[in-house]
Amino acid sequence: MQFTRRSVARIVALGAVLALALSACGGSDKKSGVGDQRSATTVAGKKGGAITIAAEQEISNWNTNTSADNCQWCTEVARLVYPQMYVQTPQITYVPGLIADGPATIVKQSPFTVRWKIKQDAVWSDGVPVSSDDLEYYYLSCNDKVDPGEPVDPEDPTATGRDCVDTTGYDQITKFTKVDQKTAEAVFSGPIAEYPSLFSNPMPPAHIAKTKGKDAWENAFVTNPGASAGPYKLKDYKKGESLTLERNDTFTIAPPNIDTITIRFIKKDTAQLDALRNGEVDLIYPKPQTDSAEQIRDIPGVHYEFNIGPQWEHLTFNLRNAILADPKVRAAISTGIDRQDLVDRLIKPFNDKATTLGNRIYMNDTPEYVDQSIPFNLEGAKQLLEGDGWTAGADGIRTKNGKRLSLRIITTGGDTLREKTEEILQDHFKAMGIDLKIANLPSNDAFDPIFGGKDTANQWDIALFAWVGTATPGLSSKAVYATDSGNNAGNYANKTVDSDFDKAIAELDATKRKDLLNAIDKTLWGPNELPDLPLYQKPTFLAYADKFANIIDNTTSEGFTWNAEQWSLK
Amino acid sequence: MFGFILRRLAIAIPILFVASFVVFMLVATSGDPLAGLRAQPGVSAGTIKAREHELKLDQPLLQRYGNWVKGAVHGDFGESQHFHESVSTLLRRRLAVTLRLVLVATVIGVLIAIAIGVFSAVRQYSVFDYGSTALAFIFYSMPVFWLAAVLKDVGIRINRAVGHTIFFTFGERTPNLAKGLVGTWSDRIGHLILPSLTLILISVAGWSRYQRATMLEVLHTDYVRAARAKGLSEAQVLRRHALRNALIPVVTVVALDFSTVLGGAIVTETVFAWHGMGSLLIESLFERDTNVILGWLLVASAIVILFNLLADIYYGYLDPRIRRG
Repeated sequence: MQFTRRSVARIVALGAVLALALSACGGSDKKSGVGDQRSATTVAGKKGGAITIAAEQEISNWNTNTSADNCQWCTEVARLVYPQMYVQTPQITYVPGLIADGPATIVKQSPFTVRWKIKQDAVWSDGVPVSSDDLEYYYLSCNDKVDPGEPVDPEDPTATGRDCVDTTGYDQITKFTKVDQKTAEAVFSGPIAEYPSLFSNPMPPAHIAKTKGKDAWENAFVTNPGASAGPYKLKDYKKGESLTLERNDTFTIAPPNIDTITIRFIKKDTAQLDALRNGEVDLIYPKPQTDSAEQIRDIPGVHYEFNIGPQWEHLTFNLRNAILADPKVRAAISTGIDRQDLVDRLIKPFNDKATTLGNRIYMNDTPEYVDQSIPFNLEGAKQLLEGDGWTAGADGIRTKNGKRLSLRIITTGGDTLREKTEEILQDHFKAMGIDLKIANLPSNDAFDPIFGGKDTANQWDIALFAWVGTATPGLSSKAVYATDSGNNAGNYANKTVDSDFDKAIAELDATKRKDLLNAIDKTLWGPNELPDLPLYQKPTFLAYADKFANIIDNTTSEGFTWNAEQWSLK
Repeated sequence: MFGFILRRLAIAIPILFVASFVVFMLVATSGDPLAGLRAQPGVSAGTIKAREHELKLDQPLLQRYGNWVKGAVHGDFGESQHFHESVSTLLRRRLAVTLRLVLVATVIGVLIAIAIGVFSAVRQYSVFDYGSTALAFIFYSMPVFWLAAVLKDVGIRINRAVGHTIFFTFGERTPNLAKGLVGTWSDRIGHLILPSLTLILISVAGWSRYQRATMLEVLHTDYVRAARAKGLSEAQVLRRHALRNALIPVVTVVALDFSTVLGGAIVTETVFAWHGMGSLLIESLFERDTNVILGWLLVASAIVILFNLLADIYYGYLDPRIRRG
């Protein structure tokens, strides 16, 4: 998937499923190779210095919580300035962010009530305290059942709320109370196990938004964050070119080591590599390509690492296609694809401990993960097809009632890793007697047919793309597999699975919730289900000048800037 | 001449309208700019509807085009849905970046091409002539992106060898540079060298061959022979009689090629990560940012028309017969 704004937004917000991922492996304190984000520890660093980062996208709005501005890089930058109550660590857990006074706590089971507390010394750079007003403003903006009194457009009666990219969880809040300046409580319509994810996105300053009138949520912070309650504040912004942040001296909770962070916008990964090689930037975080390891290896003075991230590649089967509607064909494909071969050839060159993914809800290397996948068995796949009436023709491709077993696969054109995956899959399909035709579209167009519903269902058969694992997998997994859900591209439907998801989401006991979600995944691996086939988790690629310390990759949706205040010169 | 310019402009306006209509329809019907948003979990129907309304996607196509034309006539090209700013502001900023690159490359390229062409013609079949011919064919046949990548690599190697950054590989300038006027200028030039050299080498290859051919043709004309017979010095013959006439076709080619140089700048800007018109077009096409694409088309067309007009005016300077006509 190309890291354009829309596709990244899809991957990040959309993506969803699962508890984070990241497998890591090996040691990171060396020039190359396999990262170890989970066990990485920080060292005492020097104060001062500057770092220049290459970013493939430009921040379009400091409030990255709108549908138009929720891109991966936008959030990477915004969190340096705006506060988050909670953050995901590389260890795949939500922990209190710099401004939160402890974790969110359940005050009452019925009605389900949660309390948030903000640190007393959390203050915006203009001197105004970070307060329950900020939480309330965020809640009002992201609960689309509440009209905050600012219609997006008076001419459009359907648009009564603010444009919030992810209303999940907030829309279950029935009552929000500011207990005091630093404390807020919310009552939910029912138990919601994944409440720790709420208020984990960078929050804009409510006190400034309130002075900006109508549409402030969408428009007040486009070019200027207004105020900062994070380790850095805006120093200079040259639109289309670069953005410079400087130390926020009013942020005493965790003063950063590095004085300034300059972010330069470089879209092409090859240009980023050249800039790193030429010393024009100090850090890059591009999407790894098949030759990334070769290109980075010979650059002196650079530390690089490939971690395994929570983006998991998979094949979605289009169940509106008559051939794929037959569960025996899906079972044969799922059995006959040698997923280990894909990992060995595509992912292990980056990270030699990479494995196949055998769970849709929990990622490899998380405590909840159980490999429930179907083992590879080419002969078994052939027998399944034979038994279903598909017999091999003269060219080795099977036919049934005169119909040829030919399918089209679609993905984001130009992504070399995906294109290589398709080429290998063609061999795997051919071995089963299935003709697999590649029908890719440019990255920004590929998702139009995939998510176009029945109108575009005849344009594709199998889609290769990624979802993203998160620390709160229940709700996001449901969005992918629930009947008629917008993310359910393949049109899978199973009422039992739907109700099982509802049970899991409401289950507050972590062990029971894990068992329920793994049971759902087990069901999805059943011979009559198989709406998709997980393949592997994608690697991330972080490289930086080795004069810096404490830069730790976080392959969750947080990204590598999650601990920027700890970065330092060696 | 003035009437001629007016006639040329009168023809250009309907062409621009037709082109803008075709481009608008192609871009507007090529896909759904909100497809990604629709597929995202947690996005409410109200939010999607609001975005549709904001981008005017809920209006009929012809109405959307009509609105755009109305604004364009008044210099308002609308808002960019991707860049979140006025298209006019965006185009102004990006055009300044690209023109810096393209004008420098064109001016230097023309001067070098004329010099090489003239010298090759005067010293036909010399070592210089053979050498410049060979190099011209090599650069002429090189893809722009490849040449740019090679120059970039060479630049980085030189930087590493001397232990100092002389050549910059991306962007137009170093942000937050506090090095005074000399430092600022050397930084700008350091950023300009590699991308402009890419365009210069490609342009010179073609233009120098053209200059050589026309110069050779002129050198064998009767009036040049007559000038020599009159006893004029070789320098006078070359400068006043040969070069002046040989420049007319070259000026035409350079003016017509300006759009090609702009096209080359798209690739060069991409390789060197310049934030100019080239990268703007590519990004807008990917994002289906109709307003920006249309604005880009108008500006690019206007530039091409302008350069053709300049060429016409320059003919008048070079050839008095045209001026009188």
